[in-house]
Amino acid sequence: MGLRVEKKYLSAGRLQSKESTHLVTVEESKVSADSDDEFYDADKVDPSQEVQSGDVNAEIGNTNQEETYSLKEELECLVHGGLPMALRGELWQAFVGVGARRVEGYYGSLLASEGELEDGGCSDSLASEGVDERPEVLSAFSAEEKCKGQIEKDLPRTFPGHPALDDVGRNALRRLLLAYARHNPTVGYCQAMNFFAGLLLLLMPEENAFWTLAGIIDDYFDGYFSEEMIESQVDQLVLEELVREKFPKLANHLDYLGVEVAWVTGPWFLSIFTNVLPWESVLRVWDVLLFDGNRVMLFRTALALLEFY
Amino acid sequence: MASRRRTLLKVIILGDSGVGKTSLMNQYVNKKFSNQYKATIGADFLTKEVQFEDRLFTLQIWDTAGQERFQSLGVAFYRGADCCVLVYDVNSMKSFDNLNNWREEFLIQASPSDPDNFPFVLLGNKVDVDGGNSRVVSEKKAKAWCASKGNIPYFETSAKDGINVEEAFQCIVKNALKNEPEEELYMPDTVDVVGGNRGQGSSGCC
Repeated sequence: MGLRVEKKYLSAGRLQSKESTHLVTVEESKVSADSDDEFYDADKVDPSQEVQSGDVNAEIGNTNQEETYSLKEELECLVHGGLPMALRGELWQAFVGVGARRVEGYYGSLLASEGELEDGGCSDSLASEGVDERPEVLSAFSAEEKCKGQIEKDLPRTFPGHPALDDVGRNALRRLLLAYARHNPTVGYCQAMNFFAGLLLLLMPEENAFWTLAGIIDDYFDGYFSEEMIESQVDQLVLEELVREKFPKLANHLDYLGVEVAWVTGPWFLSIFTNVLPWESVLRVWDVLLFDGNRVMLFRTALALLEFY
Repeated sequence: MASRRRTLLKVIILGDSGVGKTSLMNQYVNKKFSNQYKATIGADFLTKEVQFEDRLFTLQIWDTAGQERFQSLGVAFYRGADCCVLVYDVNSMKSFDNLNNWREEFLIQASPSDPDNFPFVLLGNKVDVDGGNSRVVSEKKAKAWCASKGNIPYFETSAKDGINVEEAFQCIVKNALKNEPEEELYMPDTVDVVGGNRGQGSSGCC
């Protein structure tokens, strides 16, 4: 836990640089927000809140450290109250630090080889079975084929029936997941990333979604979705300790049933509550999680849910 | 207390990603099929009350994620399983070839007291697809595999059309009960008698 607390302080420092990014991006957001509205109810946009967050940013520009601190508290308060839908995409990018991460042309270059593979790549779900029978395939190549096969299986299983995930939407989702797998081969593709990527694509343009996804998986969830999933296991053990401390009765009951806390809560964490909570709640959890810069919100949400029972 | 515990039967469903594990579980428990299932993350479970030979049981069915890496975390719940259901897609040779891996991984992680006689049931799913024309794994091949692993009961199913799903799960319950005598922690006397009878009965049927 000590490390996690330390991380929180670090992220508070990082936040200040994020706020300056935020300042730049908020202007753009008013333009791009309109295009995002078609995915969501436009009536969720609260114009007063929009103005408010604009003010906060204007002030941040010319303040000393002390004032920044109180403004940061105010911002935190606003984030906890829920981001306005029209600004959510831009603010998430700002929280994750997309501006600082972004390297021009990188996303395109990750997908460049896809052009050559396009013919074979398209019918991949069928072709991949033939590929595996050849013993001399390079391991890197076969790892990528494995990712591609899994991505292909999961495309129709990502928010099935959602109007935005038509052929065009799925192609974007495929590119995004493949680009990430190439960007970070030690993680590659892990189920659950399809839901994150799908969600991000609903809120922002494709390339921005890539950098946001990369920020979330590489930083917030470093070591979480890799082959060993070691950080995920660590989190579950930490959560179990917390449950024992806070809800001893529940912990004893689960012991009696022979059920480990992680069996229930593991999928909650791995999916960052997508498909676990109603959408409105999922978005609110993500708001705070991305703002905080660490995974503390996962624990808070899980403990709050367990308290219900 | 011990007798209350004994009425719970724990079943684990394993198999490659996309073979229809979630669909089979939902068809059996809710009698419904949807072609809009979401990919399973980690693991999930459903329960169903079942009656078998005048005894009432709670069947706890664990549905698992097919992607291999989830094996590295969610395997503790394999322990204490009463039956393991292996699923493959009759239209995918790869999902059939991987059955050995799933079976072995289960035996390693669950470490049952008598691995050679631990009850497995094999389901060849998606027999409805394309009227059977895209099928690549023959029934004969599947049955030969079952025979080589100690006569594992085999069913050809369609979660979509509800074909053989009920029958398969009845066999799963029966085989889960066969496992009873190994767990001598609870009610060992009663269990020995019932388990002994059933063991003989099902070796004939398999």
